[in-house]
Amino acid sequence: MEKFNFIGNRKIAYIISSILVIVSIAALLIKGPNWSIDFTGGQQIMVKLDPINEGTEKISIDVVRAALEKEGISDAAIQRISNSSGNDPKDLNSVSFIIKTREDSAIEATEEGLGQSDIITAIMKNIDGYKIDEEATNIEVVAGSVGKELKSNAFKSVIIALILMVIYIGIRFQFNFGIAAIIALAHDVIIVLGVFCIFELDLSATIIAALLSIVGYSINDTIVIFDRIREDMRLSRTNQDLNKLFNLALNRTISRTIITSVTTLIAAVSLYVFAGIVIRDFAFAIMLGTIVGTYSSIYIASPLVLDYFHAKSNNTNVFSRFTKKN
Amino acid sequence: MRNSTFNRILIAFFLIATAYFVYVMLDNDSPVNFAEKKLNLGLDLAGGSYFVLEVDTSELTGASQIEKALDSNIEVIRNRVDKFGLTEPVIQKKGTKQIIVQLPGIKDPARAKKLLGQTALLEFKLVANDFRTKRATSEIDKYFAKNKLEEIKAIGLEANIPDLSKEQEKEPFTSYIAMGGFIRAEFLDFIRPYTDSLFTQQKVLSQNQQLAVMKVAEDVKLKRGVPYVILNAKAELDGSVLAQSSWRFGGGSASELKSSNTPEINLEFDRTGADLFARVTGDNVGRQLAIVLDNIVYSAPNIQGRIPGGRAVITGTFSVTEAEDLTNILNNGSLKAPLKIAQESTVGPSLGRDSIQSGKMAGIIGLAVIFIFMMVYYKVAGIYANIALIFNILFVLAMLTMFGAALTMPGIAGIILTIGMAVDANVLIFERIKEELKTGKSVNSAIEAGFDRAVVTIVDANITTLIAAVVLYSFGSGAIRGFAVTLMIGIVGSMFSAIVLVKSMFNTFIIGKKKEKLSI
Repeated sequence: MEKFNFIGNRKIAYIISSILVIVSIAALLIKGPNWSIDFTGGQQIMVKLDPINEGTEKISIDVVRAALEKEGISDAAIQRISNSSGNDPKDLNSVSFIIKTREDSAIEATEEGLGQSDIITAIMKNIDGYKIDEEATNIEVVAGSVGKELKSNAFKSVIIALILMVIYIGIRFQFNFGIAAIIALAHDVIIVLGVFCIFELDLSATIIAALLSIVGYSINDTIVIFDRIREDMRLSRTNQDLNKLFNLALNRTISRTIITSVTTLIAAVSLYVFAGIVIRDFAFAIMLGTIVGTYSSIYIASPLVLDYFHAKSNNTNVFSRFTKKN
Repeated sequence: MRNSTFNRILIAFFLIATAYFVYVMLDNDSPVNFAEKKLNLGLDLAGGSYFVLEVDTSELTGASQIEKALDSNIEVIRNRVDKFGLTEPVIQKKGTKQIIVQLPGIKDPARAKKLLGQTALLEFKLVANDFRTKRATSEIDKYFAKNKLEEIKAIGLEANIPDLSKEQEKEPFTSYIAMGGFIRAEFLDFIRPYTDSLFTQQKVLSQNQQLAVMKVAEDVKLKRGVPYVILNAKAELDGSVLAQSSWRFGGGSASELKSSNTPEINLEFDRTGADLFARVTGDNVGRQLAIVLDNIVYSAPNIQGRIPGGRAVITGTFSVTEAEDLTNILNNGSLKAPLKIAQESTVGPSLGRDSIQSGKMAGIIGLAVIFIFMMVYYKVAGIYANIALIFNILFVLAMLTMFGAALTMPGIAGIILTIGMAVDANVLIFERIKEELKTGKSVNSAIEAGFDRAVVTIVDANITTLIAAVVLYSFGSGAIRGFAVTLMIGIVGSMFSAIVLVKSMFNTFIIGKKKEKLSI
């Protein structure tokens, strides 16, 4: 039954996690997260350029950059992406680009109407021989003020979600379980944020959604184990070794933990591979979160509860609190 | 143990509801689709534009003034959006100075932007006299009879209006498109481009006349259509010379409600305006002066005499709302460039189609792999879990259809994640049953104990996920909400399917058949 010695190895896990969290926090403080235009304001434009005449070569990224610079847009990040709908033979020499700028880009109305994104204007004006495929164009423009509001909303929502969860776990279990679960959650969120920071991936509103689902997933995982610990504590005699009891509970739930992580990972990987560029970072965050979340509920959340018990009281005390409730 | 009656009813209810809405989702036109439900696609999948427009309120003071400016902008935008003939445009206020405009399926976002932001033009134009009106309408008749008869017939056929008679074919505009001075509601989309600019471009009307429609209440529009007028194309005055406008009850001030009869509109012009207005009214006593915003006539009062001094009163049979709307239009209709795009999200239709395709692909492959995995690992019980999984996906789609919520790309991601997470409840139960079997319990009691013990865990674990989803919903904008909604529905569906549906399968196929061994 007791195949793995999770509890015995918890000190190693503490060290590994501490390093990961410290590195992540350092990355967050030094580099700062790569806030997407959702939060900073700016433009993100995906544009597909088709050659007008047959036989024209694929357009190069330098041509696009030059076209933008001609209009004074010099800070744009330009990324060339492979065409997903490349089956059409006439699309053979078409190329798609993602162009981002981060200036505050509210577009003022003019006498003729609401203005066009200056990136689109620059491309239309300065690139000859290619035309924009309007059907395959994606334009995102966000004013700085809108972004600020969203940022504060995002912060609030993550904090509110965490508080509500502590309350729920506090009621259903004990307060120290709730605190341990939240430490594990913070650990997951910080590490995922850290990885996004280090790899310079955009932190967008969708990624915040992913973070919250990671929180949901990880807490789910943690609670399943807590539940087993609670059950075993109620059933066991008071003189049993706490370490052993915790380790047994972890071992009893480990196959479920692994199977659920695997199916969730399968779903996330299939999103990552097949669902297209729009959702790729989101899927990546979920993949990462699933792994970290599974790890933390085994090696962080439960051991923290155990160490809290060790520090606070002797075994008899701990058990009596559970048996009384029954 | 047998399935309890309650569980049977519950299962029947869930399955029937799911089956019904999935059927309706696949076949919108089916006669059983009483409530006309369908699965809406979000802008990111259907293609279309989403704008948050911000009204420049820097020159306005006071909350009520800002609100009025916002209202009149919404009015202008609504009229313009009507021109695109989209099926489900959304225009709504957001906060104190923002307007959200959603244009699903718009073909030409650049044109939309142009129209949305254009400075609204408030003008005063003379209504053409009877002779000219008659000549202009007969010119329109001739033009339509010669060029557009087929198109008009097609619209009539579509709208189930009896076909044109021989006489009507000679005068399609005055006797068919319009009836007794009202353009039929079915033909409003057809006529709109002509009132905007086409007649002018094609030089259909001689003597610089133009066709315009009147602003009417929505119910009148649907029942009788919209009245038309022929205007002199040249504007006598524009909104910039209007200093301010207000309304009050005739015969007393607004506060003396008792003495009131009907509202009157007061106009006050600035100095240039006053001179112009005095001349226009002096020259045209007895004629009608139309108040025109964006080619729509809001009111066409009679000029009763020359009005010097720049103060005019419009009397008539206004309701209070009409009076409020009209003064609002008069006061705010000519704000110069008052809008800017605070946020734009435009997704080309082919990108949307690609997203649906790749979303489907990801879903099918993820599902297939999980199917095989569950079957290999849990054998027969795995098949039950897979059936529950299929139910789950259909349940999410059915509920989205029922609530009329939009399916977005993050929503699809939510469904696929639900596939991964929904098996969790089953896994919890199955693992528990396995454990109970190992302690030497019989198949029946192992199943009972497994379910009993796992249910508490399932509820605890799912409620916390639900908390995350609810918070996400309240924080999120459009696309994120789509994700939160599918997550919430997925959680409810998976709890039901694991605790009730799979349980009943065990009851029927294992316990009911008194099997000695369990393939799990």
